[in-house]
Amino acid sequence: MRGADAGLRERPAARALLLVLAFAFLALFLAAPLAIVFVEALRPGLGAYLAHLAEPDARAAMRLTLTVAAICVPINVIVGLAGAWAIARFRFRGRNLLVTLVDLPFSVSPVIAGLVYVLLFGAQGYFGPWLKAQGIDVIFALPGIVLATLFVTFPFVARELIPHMETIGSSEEEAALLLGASPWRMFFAIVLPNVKWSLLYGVLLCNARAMGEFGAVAVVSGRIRGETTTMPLHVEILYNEYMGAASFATASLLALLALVTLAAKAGVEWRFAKSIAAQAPAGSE
Amino acid sequence: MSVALVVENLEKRFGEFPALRGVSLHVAPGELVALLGPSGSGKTTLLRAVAGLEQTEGGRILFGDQDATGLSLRDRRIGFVFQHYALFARMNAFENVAFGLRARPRGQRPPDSEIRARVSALLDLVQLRGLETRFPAQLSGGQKQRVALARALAIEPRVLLLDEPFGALDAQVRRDLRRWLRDLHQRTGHTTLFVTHDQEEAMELADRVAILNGGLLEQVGAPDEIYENPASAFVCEFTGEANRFLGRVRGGRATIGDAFDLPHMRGPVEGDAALLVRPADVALASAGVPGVVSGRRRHGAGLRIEIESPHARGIVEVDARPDDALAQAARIGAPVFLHVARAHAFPA
Repeated sequence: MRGADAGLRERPAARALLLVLAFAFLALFLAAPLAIVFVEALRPGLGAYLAHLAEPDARAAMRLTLTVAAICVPINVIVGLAGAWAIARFRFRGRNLLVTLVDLPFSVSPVIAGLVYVLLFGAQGYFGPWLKAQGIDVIFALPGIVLATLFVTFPFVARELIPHMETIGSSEEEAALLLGASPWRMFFAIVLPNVKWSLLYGVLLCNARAMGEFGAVAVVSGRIRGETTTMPLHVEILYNEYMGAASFATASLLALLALVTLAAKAGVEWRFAKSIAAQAPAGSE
Repeated sequence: MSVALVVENLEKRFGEFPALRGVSLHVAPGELVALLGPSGSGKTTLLRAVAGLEQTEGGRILFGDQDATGLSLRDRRIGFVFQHYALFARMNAFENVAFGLRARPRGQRPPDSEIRARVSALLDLVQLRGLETRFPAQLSGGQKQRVALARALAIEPRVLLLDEPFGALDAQVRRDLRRWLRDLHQRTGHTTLFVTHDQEEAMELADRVAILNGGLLEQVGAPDEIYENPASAFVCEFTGEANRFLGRVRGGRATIGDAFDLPHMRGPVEGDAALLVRPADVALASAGVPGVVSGRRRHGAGLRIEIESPHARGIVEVDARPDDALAQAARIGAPVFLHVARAHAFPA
């Protein structure tokens, strides 16, 4: 192994070639599209750009996207924390099934996720007529969009927390309970501070996906302009109507969200690494 | 404040594996008892069951007169020191010790000034004054151990439980802490149960030692009693070095080989027997049990000579003084004779 390693290091040309290839690929397929979004959005000038964003339909799409994220992220935090804690702390029947279910949204196409909800809650679906009779709209309305988004974003929080909670172990929690802490106090004083960085990391990813999800939402939303179009749907509708500049204006907001998420993620990773380093001597002894 | 701890017929299984098989133990108020056993013997399981951290399938646990079955962890009022301390990594030493006081329900929580005074007093007791603001990652193993102890004492526990209290420390710190814990126990007088796999630690520290093997209590007694009167071959071999000879007991007299009669023998055995002999009770002699020297090495101030004998199982280890004439003659391969002064006899 060592010989091969040294051999590679002795060939600077090979190294340079690999680096150039990697950077060229990233520039072509990641950086260039991102740059195009901003270039196209701002081509008609800043005034037109802001005017596109101020259109009622665009503002409605932003409001809807923020609403969906504001509902989905807290639910995923609570359910993700509970699920991750149960999986990391207890050995029970169905534990492996639960672990697999947490990952299910990753392996199912988002379009399928949307279709499933249409089949369940749509006008011809299993519960649709009954819900209709109660005056509740799920499909082509906010509840359907929230359900579809919840489905695709569920793994992010739990997936981050499970390995971290398993590494920390349960003895701090046991110590807190033996010292007389109530379960709530144990949770807020011990569990939450211990996992806060991985939780924040999961929230960031979950939020980015909740705002950016297209496929599952497209199926259940019905694309009623100004009512059930989220920002990604709004981008697509405008583009299909050859309103490129307006479409790119909204797209630039989503791209900005991606950049902010990326920066925040890097920041969290840095803080997280520091806190892991601070904890490590305590854990290893 | 300290109460008796009574364990009655405790049963616990992990799946098919029986971890505790009807264990009964009585710890008097203020007594310091060691749970000694090899790994997998059930000692940590027993400790965790007393703390309420493991559910048991049978038997019961009493604190004084109070049945602990169904008692919440908080209501047990147990001071527990974890093997790896389990200090709260995000709190400094002071907050770690204060945690139990701050966690009390509002009505019983002492005022902040009193919490400060009590935590300071505890940190003094464990000799950690000045380290209040250090975080666990900034403390040495021995310091962490003492913070963990102060934290456990802060809730004025009825019983103190320690899981391998010195397991993660190096030899020198271990010895110092052992002596210090003994002193601390004499001053504070908590009913204390601690788990260890180190027989020297158990014998030196505890008022009484309880020896567990395969989920069963083999023997409970004062260190002297256990060393002098082991109840089983396992206890004899686990509590100190022992050579194992094969012999025969007839009418209370033990014989090794054809001719050698033991002057002293203990154990209610008749017929074939395993005769366990401490190194101090066997010596090189001009006649006795025959053997051949297979090794010799330095052992503290003296020599340790290893001898193979057809009448022993495994190597017999004999201590001798370097200037002893017989020891000097005992080169590797040389035939020697052993005099056995005392043995503990158990069924072969």
